[in-house]
Amino acid sequence: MFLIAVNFVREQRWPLITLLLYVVVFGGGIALTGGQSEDDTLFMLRSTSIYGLAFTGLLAASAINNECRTRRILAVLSKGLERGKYLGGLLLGAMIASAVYCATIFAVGALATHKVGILLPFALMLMVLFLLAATVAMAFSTVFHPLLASASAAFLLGAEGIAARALGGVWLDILPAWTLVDRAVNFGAPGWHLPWAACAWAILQAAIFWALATAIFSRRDIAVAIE
Amino acid sequence: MTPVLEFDRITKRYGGPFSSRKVMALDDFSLTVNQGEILGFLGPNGAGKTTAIHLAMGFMRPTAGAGHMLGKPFGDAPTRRRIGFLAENVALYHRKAAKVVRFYGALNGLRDPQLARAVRDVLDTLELNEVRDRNVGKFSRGMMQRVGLAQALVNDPELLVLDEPTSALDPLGRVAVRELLLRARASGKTIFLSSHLLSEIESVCDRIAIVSRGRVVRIGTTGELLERADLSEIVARGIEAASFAGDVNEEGLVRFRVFAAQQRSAIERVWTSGGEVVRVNPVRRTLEEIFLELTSKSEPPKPGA
Repeated sequence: MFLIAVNFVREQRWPLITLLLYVVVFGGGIALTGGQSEDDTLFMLRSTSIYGLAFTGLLAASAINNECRTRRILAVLSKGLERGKYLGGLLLGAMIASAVYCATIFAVGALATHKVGILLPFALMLMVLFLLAATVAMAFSTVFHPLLASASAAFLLGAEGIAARALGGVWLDILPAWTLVDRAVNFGAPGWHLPWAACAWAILQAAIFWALATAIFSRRDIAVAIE
Repeated sequence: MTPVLEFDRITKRYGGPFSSRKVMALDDFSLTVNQGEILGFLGPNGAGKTTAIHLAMGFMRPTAGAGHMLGKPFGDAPTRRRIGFLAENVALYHRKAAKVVRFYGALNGLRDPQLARAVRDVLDTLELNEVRDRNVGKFSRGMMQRVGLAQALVNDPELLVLDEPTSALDPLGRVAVRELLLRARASGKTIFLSSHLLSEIESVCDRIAIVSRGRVVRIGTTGELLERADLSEIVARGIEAASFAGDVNEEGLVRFRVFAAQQRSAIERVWTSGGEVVRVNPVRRTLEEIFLELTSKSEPPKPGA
């Protein structure tokens, strides 16, 4: 599984490097100029976290399709590798890419704000949010085209957010998409803290979608004869 | 003989329940590959060869029927560690040749130092050692196919499933692969070989299965297929070629063909005409003739099937 993950990150290195460069140049610029307000730094951290969310979702949604389209999946799955482990490798790869991205946000944020104490939980929360987005997008991509899978994932998580807001109370944790995105776009606001309960529910939800994705992918035809 | 690969009345239909375009790729398809043999799998485009191979490898599921590979149902992941597979139009990750082969070997559970040795050996066998540090993305199709073969062989498989392994190779490369297949058979491996190259099939295969429109239309040893039991060729001297509807060769011998049932009476006619029978042989046809005959007379697919 780890081999597949590392290989996936290697294959996706250029979009990842481009995104990292954006964070480094944008955040580094703010850190080096020094005279900018804290609002600029927070804006950078908030916006890059949302870009990271979109990046992870798209990365996960296109993973299976790319492998099938290029037919590289055939040589890989001709080896003694179960489909669930293969899918796990792709997801782990997407999460490694996300972890590198979050670490970069953390490093740049720490350099610009010197607030390591609040940046660490922020980076952890982003990882959980990215994990949720990646598993939902990947689950949809087992049956849909990547663009439709991304749209479906966005729609599902959006609908979940609307439902959580409408229901309120404990549902803001049980349906965690809204809470996590809200905390990401309001990072640094007074009283900001890591939403532990929402993170735990998000991990549970990711596990459910992961199991669903594996069940579907294990039964699906991955190659249609080119004849 | 022990079957290594077995398709048991498999049907594969493409297109879901709501699809307007349904295609019957395999129709009640049965085939057995025995241990230690090279079975050539021949058929025109669209006959279902690649579909059969993809089903065997577990890339897709049959609509009906079942199959076994090395005693386990198709798609069993641990069993695939004992298989070497080369896809038609091989597609590999773009990195150094040695690293590509190493990656696929590692996926099959090989670890150093066994993996390093296996990679070195297989690159040697396929004469890829000189380009081991070149990126396969810059390789020609033929070179890419060699790397594809290397990844199929790296785990020293018991069964090789090869879909058009020489389609992109030059004549020298084809000869090398042919020799490699023969060596593999000599070492006890079983090979399921799909190819369009009739000469290749004829020269290396123990048995040949011809598939057309999703069914095996003929299977047998190469000798059985090429020799026509119902037709004999008689070569004689001292007779009039015109009276036997034959032709005269450079040595002045008359050669003519008769149905096997009429062979005895034809020989007696030669004798009564004062001639002498030089030899009688079953007619040997080319694989191309058999292939064209079998694949052109198959029934067209049923509409909407």
